[in-house]
Amino acid sequence: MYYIDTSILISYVFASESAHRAFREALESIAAEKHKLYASSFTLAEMCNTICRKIVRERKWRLIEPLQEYVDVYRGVEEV
Amino acid sequence: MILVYVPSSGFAIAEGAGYAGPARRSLEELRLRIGISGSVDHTLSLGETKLLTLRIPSPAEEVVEFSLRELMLSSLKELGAPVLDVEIRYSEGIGLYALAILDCDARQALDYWLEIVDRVRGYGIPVFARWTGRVDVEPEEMGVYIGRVLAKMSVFLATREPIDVVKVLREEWGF
Repeated sequence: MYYIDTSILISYVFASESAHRAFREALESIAAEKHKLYASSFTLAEMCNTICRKIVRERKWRLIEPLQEYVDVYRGVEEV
Repeated sequence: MILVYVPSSGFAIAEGAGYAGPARRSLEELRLRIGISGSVDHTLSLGETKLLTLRIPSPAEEVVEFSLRELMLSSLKELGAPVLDVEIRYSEGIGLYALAILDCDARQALDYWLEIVDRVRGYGIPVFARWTGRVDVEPEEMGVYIGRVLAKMSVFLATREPIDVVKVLREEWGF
């Protein structure tokens, strides 16, 4: 049994995170060996909150193209 | 003189008999000037027909783009997607990818996107969808759609600048 915390999950999701490659290899290796990965609902909430805050609210994380376009379709709507 | 462009092999030029003058000379000059290779085939007939083929090097990506675009377009049309166009693009983080422009609202386009990804998986490049209509999905739904599509394509999210999540989380917690 493996417990995954927020930093590992976000690092896995973002290829531009400094430890992405290491965490990706580790998680995929664990999954390939049929071990179970656990995360708490608090971890998932923290992950969603952090990502949304950085991308949408603070706009400090700009995604690469064409992914940023899917965020930007709501820019005009948000400002109305 | 007939000039035919063949994407995979360059230009093929067929000259009629008795016309070996200025055109022939200019072709030879062209070959020498731009350093391209070529060959001349002589076929005996009542009038001598000469087939001159020139191999003009073209960027590999141009050929790939043409082929992929055509393949993608036909695949999407077979699927019944309201596709207006497919563009082959390049992104720093993703590399070569296809952008399908669909003539519908966002929800329908996102539903098609999920199907399109399965349909064109064999082409080896990720495909993204853009729509011409309204944005009729909530941001949360859009996030779910994109998450599912990216997972299907094995494409990870990426920011333009490198990020350090441990540092970000420490800041969030006020450490």
